[in-house]
Parts: sequence; structure tokens; C-alpha cells
Amino acid sequence: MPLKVLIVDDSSTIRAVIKRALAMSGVAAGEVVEASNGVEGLAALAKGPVDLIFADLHMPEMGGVEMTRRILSNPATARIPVIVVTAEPNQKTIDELRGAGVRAHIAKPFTPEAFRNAVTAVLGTVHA
Amino acid sequence: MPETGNNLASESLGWSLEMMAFVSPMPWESGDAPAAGDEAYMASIAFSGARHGVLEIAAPAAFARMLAVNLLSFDAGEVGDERIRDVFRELTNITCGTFIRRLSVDPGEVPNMSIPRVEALKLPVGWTDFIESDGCTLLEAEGYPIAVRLRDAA
Repeated sequence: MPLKVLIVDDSSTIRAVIKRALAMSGVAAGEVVEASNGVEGLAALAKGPVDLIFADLHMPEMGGVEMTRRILSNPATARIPVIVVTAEPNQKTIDELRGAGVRAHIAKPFTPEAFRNAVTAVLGTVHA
Repeated sequence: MPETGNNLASESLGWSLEMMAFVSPMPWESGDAPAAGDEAYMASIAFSGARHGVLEIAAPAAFARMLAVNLLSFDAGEVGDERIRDVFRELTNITCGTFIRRLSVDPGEVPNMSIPRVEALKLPVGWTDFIESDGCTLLEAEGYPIAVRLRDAA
């Protein structure tokens, strides 16, 4: 069964790149919902659950870490894995993501294989 | 740093374009300096850590438009000024992230990057000045020129 995926990034360019990488990765992504910041991401989740979330780290209004904290604090969404996709070069910041509940991180620039590996790591499969 | 840094910057740009858009830039080998067409942009991003400076990328708007339409599947009608600026912004952000990771030798250092800024270049002077500036590396990608340089690097 295809995965329902939420992509949260303030760049429509990066959302397009992620969608293409997902399509090439072998990950069975079905419906893809897009949001341009954490606030919009939470609003999208309120409309219906997803199987997996890809989020940018730095976004206006609400970034990926705060969005992840709110997702984890809501019993209705707490089990949805969040994977951060970022160009952030600071390893300390990357390490802190795990403490905030982020399940995996993909560094930009990324390959389709990076998506497959990250999805497999958090879901154990590339299918729902 | 300038020589090594400029080489690393152009390699990081090439790697980022390959990963982001499957475009493999090559050194610009035509004898004449390329023209930028009707519109060109420059994106800049400051970085700090073990090294600091500003990484700048310039290219014709037509290059970003080509990436958006042909490789990211946007409709041509959707590719206006803001989309073009976004392509430049993200390409520069990703290139700088790659560049900094390649520069890093000390795991204890704390690298940082600013938010990329994009501006239109005045033509033809702005483009010509950029590609003829010290340390600028000129590449060719899908027939378009794309230039990268480091400024105030140390």
C-alpha cells in the first residue's frame, strides 16, 4: 500500500526535488501533501494522518524541530516518524535533532538512495 | 585558502547540481566570455567556522528557468521571478552546506551559514565583472554559463 507523505519545506523548489527523489528511490509514496512551514504542516496533519513526514530544519513561523515536538506531544500524531532534510553543516545541531524526536536526517544534496535508506531505517520497509 | 577554497567551491557546486538536478557541469572552455542573456542573478551566502567568507553563485535567469521546467517539472507558466530566485537560493544553500562539510577538519568546530540572498545583476556590467573577478570559476551546464567564487575568504 502506498505511503501518504507530508513534505514540509518553505522552498517549493526543494519540495519538488524531494518528490522527484522519492519517486526515484523505490519508496512507494502515494499521496504527497505539501506545506511551507511547521504551522502549515500541523494544519495538514489535523486534516488527516500521514505515514511519514519529511521536514526542513529552518523555516519561517515554525521550524522542523518545534513542529516535531508538537507532533510528538499529540497522541494522535506521536507515532508518525519525522525525517529532517537539511543542508545544515553543524553536526551538533544534527545531533540535537534526535533529542527532539526526529527519527532520521538526510543531508542536502541528497540521492534517491538516501531517501530509501532513511525510510527503511524508520519504517523497516519502503511500503506502508 | 583562495586556490583550494575556489576549487572546493566549484566542486561543491558541481556535486550539488548533479544531486539536485542531474546536471553535470563542466569547465567553460569556449574562448569567448559568455553572455548572460536578458536577465542574470547572483546568490550569496556567508559562512563561518574553521574558515569564513562569502560564497557567491551567478547565472542567467534562463538557467534557473530551465532547471525548474525541465528537471523539477514545474509548468513554464509557474516559473516567474520568485521561482527563479528560489532555485538560486536553494542551489546556493546546498552548495555552501556541501562546501563547509568538505572544509571541516575539526569535529569540534561549529560551522554556520547565513540565509542566502539573491539579487538581480545589472547587465551586462554586473555579469561581466563577476565572471572576470579574481578566483571566479566559470562552468557550463546544459549550455548555460554558471559562475562561482569566494569573497572575503580566510
